[in-house]
Amino acid sequence: MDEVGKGIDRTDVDWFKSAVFYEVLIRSFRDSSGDGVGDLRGLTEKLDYLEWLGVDCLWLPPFFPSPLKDGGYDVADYTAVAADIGTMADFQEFLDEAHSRGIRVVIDVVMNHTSDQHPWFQASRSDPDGPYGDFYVWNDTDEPYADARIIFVDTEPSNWTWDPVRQQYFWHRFYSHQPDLNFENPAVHQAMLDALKFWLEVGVDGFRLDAVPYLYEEEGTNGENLARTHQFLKKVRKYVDDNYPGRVLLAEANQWPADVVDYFGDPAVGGDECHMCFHFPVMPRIFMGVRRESRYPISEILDQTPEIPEHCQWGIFLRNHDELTLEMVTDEDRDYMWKEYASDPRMKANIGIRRRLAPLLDNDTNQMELFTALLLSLPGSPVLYYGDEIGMGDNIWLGDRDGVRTPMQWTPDRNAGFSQATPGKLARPVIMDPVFGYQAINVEAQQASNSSLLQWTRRMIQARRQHSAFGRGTFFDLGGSNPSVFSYLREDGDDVMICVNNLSRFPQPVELDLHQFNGSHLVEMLGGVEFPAIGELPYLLTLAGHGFYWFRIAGPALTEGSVA
Amino acid sequence: MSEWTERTELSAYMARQRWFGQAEGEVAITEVRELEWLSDPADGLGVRFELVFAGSLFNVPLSYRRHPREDLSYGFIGASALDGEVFYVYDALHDPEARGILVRGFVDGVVSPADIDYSRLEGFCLEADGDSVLLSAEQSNTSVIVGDALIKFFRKLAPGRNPDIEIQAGLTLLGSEQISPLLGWINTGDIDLAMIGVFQRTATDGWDSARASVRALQDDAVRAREAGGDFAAESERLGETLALVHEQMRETLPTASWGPEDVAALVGRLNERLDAAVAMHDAVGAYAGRVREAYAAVDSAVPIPVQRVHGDFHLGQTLRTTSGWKIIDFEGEPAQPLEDRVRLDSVDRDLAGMLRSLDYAAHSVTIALGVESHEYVDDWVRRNRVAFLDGYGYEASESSAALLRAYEIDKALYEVVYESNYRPDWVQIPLRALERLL
Repeated sequence: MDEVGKGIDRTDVDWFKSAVFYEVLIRSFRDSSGDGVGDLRGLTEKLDYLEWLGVDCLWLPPFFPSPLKDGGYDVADYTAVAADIGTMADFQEFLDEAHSRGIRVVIDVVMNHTSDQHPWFQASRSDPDGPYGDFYVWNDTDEPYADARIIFVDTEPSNWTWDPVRQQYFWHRFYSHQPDLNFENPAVHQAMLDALKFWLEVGVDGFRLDAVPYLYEEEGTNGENLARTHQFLKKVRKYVDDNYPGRVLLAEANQWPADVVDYFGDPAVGGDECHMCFHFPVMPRIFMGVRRESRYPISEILDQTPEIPEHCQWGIFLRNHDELTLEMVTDEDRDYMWKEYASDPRMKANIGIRRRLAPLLDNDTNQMELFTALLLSLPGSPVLYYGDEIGMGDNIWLGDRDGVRTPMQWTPDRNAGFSQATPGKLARPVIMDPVFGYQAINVEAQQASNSSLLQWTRRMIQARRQHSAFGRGTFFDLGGSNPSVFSYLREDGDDVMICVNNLSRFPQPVELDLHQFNGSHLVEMLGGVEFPAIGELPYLLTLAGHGFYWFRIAGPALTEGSVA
Repeated sequence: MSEWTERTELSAYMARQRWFGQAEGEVAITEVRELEWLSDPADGLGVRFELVFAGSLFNVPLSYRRHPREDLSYGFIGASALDGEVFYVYDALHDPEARGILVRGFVDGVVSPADIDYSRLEGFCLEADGDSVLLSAEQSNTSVIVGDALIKFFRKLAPGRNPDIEIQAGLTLLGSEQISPLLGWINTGDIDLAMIGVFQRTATDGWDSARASVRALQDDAVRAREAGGDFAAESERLGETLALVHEQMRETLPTASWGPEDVAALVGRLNERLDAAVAMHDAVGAYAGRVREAYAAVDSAVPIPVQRVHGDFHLGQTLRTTSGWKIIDFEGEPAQPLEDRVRLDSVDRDLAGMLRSLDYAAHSVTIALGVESHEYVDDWVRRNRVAFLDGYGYEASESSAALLRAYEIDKALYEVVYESNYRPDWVQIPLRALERLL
């Protein structure tokens, strides 16, 4: 056990509050075996790169045995590694190597449902009276829980599907090949805790809990955010805290922040459910703010975001493996977003399909930098999506989810340096178009160029690391005279940062009320240049189109001779 | 107690201030009414309100300092003797310490002199010794931010309840979320000196937001509806906000209905303003016939519901905040006599004000850019007019359309005269509007 977790400080239980996360798809990152599919050994090979980039924690989407009808979220065995990406020994080696670099690893756990290929489901349908007979939600009719909405309306006519083997309907909030587990059954609780225990013993640093709002069903409710779902999460949290302190639970609750905040648990004890929750609405609002050249879409959502318990943190992201969705919001917000997005053909075209950051921003480096600067400075722990640090493109012709899961582009060589396989053998083709193709966009070229997006992103991550205000500080919207400029204060004790972002493509002036810092001056973070002292009058700044500043507030300027 | 021996210095100072207005030449001060000291000059700093009669009545709070302050020189007025001792006199609103003394009456437990009242709405209390910041660039008043509050000192005074206080007090007590809540006011007898409300820290005004949208459009070479900076959803929400505020004003303030005589009187007033505009500007004469026809089309047989209205509604009177639009400044047109500013009117007065303002915002951008092309800007204006009226829930009928049009024309005529006098480059904006309206 001593070897497990070496390099990781288990006494630092709040590490996630200031960590930079990186979502990496094993099958698309690096293929060490030459079979055309990325694997664990390939990921291990690339840990040096991730350490160099400066990320603190990797998030691995499901890599378990699975029929892969839902990108691996259809799990057929919770406690094994899919054969095509490696073995348990490979995983252990990867984890130890990550830990020795100080990089933590969070894995995905799908609690709500399993694949219909999971042995539990096969046993449940064929032997209703057996030990797994009550593991799923079975019923003789498809009438109960009629108030629960159908999430995948395009493919699923009902939340109930008839099983010809058991001659009953089974309940599923997502695809009909993903039956929901029955959390009324204590044996399901135990089976889930056993699965978590398995990976905690291996040494993982936490779990992203997929689709948590839907664990329980209750007649007359919409089946989301029910009290017993929260009770179960409290049970999971207590188990993890008691036995494996310093591990993190990160909830995917695609809901309005006021509802999501419940998944942190009781504020009086600093939170007793999930340590982290994704903040979903902030992402489409950033896109809208820049599109509208107005700070209000972003200001508003942050203003409406409730306080969270002390030992908790939001997870924020620009892009991930899912689509740009408007589905997570209240009716009122959906109206607002539709009004703003749907009338705009440019924006509408991007709803509901999976795009990467760079193509969404017309491959405009200034905008990519602005978006990344926002991601790294807004309240919450940033989650980067693999490849976005070099501005990778997508392949919308690959359909469903694969368009943003193309192989990581390492070099201008064959298969982008991803694999030695014959190109035709790759599970997903590399991107080859003239703008985003691997000959133009790859890690090797960008590491060699100081002005590349990759080097810039790395410098920003380093700058972020030097200031606790970003991870742990308060957030204060500075307002300001110009609606196109979004400015805020991040403050953690003596560490005070001012971030000023021009959401417009045109140069803009802004006057900020900084009189509370009268006598101090601003130091720009990337270059260390001292800006004029702050006085009582509004502080005037000018910004280039899509420009931004990170300032540190420093005491009165030192003049020559003033140091004794 | 003191005698202003250096009135000439005070009048020279007032003549330099924007709030004094455009009067040219000398300011003749006929009387100064000094309210009681808010702090004792014997302690080195005396502060009081002084009401100065100079054509009109002005609110000039002054600070008297025993020792001059170099850093306050921009607010320095002159030297004056109090009981034989020389004091240096400053505009108190430019003197941070004096500002704190002027607002101290809002702090719990502070007793104010007998001739001045600091009224507070329930629950409000200013924190003692808060920093204050003077807002710059204001036309007719002078505002100061203290903590989360904004204190507006009226500069031009008139007896009678200030309509801004009257209306905002009513809407605040109603719990309106579409205004910036009123917290209190300062008055001496029946003269209101200042009002205090919640400061909308994250706000920018609608004028800046709308112009940002137009600027974005000129670079896009697309229709307004396809442009990234589209403003229509904001205009729609602004219309919704005004509709709510009008409803709240109906609920808490008087309403009435105009019959044929009242409508005839309205048309009479409109024609009088037209005559005045014709007399003041040559270009207006060419439109006079068509304007009179348009006014005559207002149907006196159809009663017009009237109520208290904003009276000077334009983008500059709106704040975009993180919790939606807020409407501010319910004073009416400051240049008009109080009687006109509190007159019941049709809500169309405010609708017309915003429609003109959208047109202004859009075309001011083309003037700033020095471009001739108006096509995309006209497209923007059309789109946002429709969105604003939709958001308001405006229902067009023949008679209502005639009234709205009459108010728009009236406003445009006023603009022609104003721009000819002060910004000749801009007069093309209302002239083009008249062409379109007539």
